[in-house]
Amino acid sequence: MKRKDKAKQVGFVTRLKTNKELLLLSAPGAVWFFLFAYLPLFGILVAFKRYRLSGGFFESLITSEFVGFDNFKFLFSSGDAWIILRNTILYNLTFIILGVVIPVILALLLNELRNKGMAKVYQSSMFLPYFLSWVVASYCVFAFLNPEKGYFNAVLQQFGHEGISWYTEKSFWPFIIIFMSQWKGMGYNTVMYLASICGIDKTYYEAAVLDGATKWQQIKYITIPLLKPMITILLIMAVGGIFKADFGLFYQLPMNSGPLYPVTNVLDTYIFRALQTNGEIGMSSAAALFQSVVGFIMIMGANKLVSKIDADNALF
Amino acid sequence: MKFKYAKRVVALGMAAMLSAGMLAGCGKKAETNEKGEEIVELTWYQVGDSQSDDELVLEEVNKYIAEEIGVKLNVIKVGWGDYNQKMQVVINTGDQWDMCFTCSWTNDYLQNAQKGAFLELDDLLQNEGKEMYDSIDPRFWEAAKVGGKTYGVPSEKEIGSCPMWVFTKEYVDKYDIPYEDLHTLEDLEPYLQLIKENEPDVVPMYLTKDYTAPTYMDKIQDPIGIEYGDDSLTVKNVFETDRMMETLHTMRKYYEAGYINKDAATASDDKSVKRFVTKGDGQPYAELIWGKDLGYEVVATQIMDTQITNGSARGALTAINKNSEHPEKAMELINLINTDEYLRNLLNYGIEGTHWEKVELTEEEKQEASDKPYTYDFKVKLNEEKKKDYSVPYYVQGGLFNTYVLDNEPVDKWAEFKEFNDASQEAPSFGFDFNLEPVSTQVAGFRNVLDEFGKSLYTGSVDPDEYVPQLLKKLEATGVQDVIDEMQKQIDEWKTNK
Repeated sequence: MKRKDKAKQVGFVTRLKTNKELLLLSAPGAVWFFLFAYLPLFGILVAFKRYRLSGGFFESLITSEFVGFDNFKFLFSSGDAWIILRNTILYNLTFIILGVVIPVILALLLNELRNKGMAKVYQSSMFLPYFLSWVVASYCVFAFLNPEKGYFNAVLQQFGHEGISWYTEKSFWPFIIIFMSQWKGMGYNTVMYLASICGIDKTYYEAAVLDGATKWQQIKYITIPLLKPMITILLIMAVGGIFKADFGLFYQLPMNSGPLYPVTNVLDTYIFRALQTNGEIGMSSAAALFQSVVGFIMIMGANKLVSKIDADNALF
Repeated sequence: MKFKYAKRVVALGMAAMLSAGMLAGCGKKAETNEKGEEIVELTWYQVGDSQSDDELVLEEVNKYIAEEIGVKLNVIKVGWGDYNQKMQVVINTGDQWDMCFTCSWTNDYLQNAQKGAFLELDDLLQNEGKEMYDSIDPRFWEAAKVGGKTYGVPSEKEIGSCPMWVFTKEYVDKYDIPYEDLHTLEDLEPYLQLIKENEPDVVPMYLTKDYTAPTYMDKIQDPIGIEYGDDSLTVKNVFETDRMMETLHTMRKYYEAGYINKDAATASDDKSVKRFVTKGDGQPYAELIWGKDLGYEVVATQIMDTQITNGSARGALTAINKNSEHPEKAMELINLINTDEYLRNLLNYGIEGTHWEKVELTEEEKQEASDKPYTYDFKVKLNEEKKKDYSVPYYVQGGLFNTYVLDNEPVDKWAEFKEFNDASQEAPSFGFDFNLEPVSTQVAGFRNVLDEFGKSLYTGSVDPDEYVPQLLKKLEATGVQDVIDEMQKQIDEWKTNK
């Protein structure tokens, strides 16, 4: 027993020595994480305090009154809490599912293109919206949906229909929001999947072709199974963000239009509007903490689930 | 060997740091003005977009104030959209700053004062700021008091809120419309109809998402407040008042009759839209500003009597940081800006000879100005080419009454403002500050509800009979009654102590 312990200790030091290049490589990242992600963790305290100024930040933090979970109350005090949670979760679930299905299909299609030049063109043009801010994107949409001068209403009127007041008619918006989020995000995810497809050993396909496998069979039995680890990792990460909504998507895109709130109000927009009125940083910290804790639980849960089904694909 | 080397490196590093520190120390010490006073640097946060000639003007300003009071300014401008958030971070994290712009509509004066971010200025105002203190309308000082203490220096300008109907002059002349007699929303109806029938290209009543229907109430904590003229000081929800319901019904009627543009609830102001009437927040000679903005002449009429509320009288203030190292110097500077003609105009219009020229008054104007307050011997003619390089919001840095007027403005502009201020009525709730701390959870829910329904109701886009009950129900769920009760309690206390 004793000998084993000693062996282990020696092992640690030697391991340190043998891996010193790798450790050195990871050092900047580790330092960064320590400084900017772990050190500020004490700031979580703000969420449990009624933050009032008295001198600098630390002084104020310490002298402010401790109020327990009071700061969290506003999240659930509104009559709309249920609708807001429902919107946040349902939209995110849809995004997660579509965020796998569409990019994987696109990556498979792009991969089959013979003309690699054109494939690059398609790939880049799909990627482009990813770099646009939602403010810019929202005005592109506005050009279509403007009730007075938009393209859509112009077409409708051309055919003798009455124009639609798009920014007050909430029934269209779940579709518009999902469509726009995919329009903007799919290029990025496609590139990720395309990269892992390119990494698949070509000899698998050659062997399959020799055995007379069709394209569909190659995809079904080679590409998709080998993509599974990548899909799982991205899925687990996405699940962690299920309580966080893309603020720009839900605030800028619908032009913050009131009648659309029943389908566009999500946790992030609710918090933003709530804290515009009273400027309590304790409450905003509480909201962020709540989102992060739920996200953490979701990631751990998803990872556990994955490791139960297929331990090799789990994140940790 | 290696160890020795490391030690040497460390020693070298420390030596470098030390000498850097000494150099910095020297640099600071060396700066004195001709009187031998040490020059202190003050950091001032202002709202507004950066100008390309900011530095040029600041250099000139610094030269002057260094000699006058031994101060050097470091101005940090933050854009209109970011200012509120940026200042919350700056203030809450205890950053180094000395002065900042604050008001009722961005970087909220009341909240900051209540949370203890600003310095109490009452003593300084009696010493360093005495000259300025005496020159500014006492009602501005009254409004600047929070819990009996003053936390900001008001920029003297229009004191009351004065909503106006703004008519396009072309149509007023064409149809001979007696616009001066039109005040209430209901007064407008026959003329909206007239325009609708005769001018198919013109939107009779052009409204945008920022529009609020005429409100006869001081909304202390939107949507809760005290109605104008209600001396019993009963706290009400504006959507439960008969006056507002009537207004909303009229708006709905106008909307359905096609007087109002269909996209009113979401539209941003599009200057190319031809309109007959719109609503604006006015002040004396506001029609000149609007007209310049739109590119055609407009005329305006007041919707209701001008009311002074805390919100309207706190339109622009300068506050000093509670943790500032040089509060006296900061006050001296604010005092100088508000009393020194040269400095005030330099900050406001830029450098004379570069950004603007002095223009002598004509004989006629001199006559007009002779017995009026706040008139000067000069007007300002902006340099057409350079004026875009230095254009700042006039009220951010100081009061308006000691600036020269522009050459196309009436010479008695500020005298007119003064008269306007004197004629304004104080709302019954003027002077009362709501401490929302006991109900801040409830208040947090208001904005969501108001944003959801407010714009559509105000513009008449939806039926008030259907949507006001929904709005009230949602407000009820967020605990509006608690807020009403709390405010009533506080206002009753305030009334007895008044």
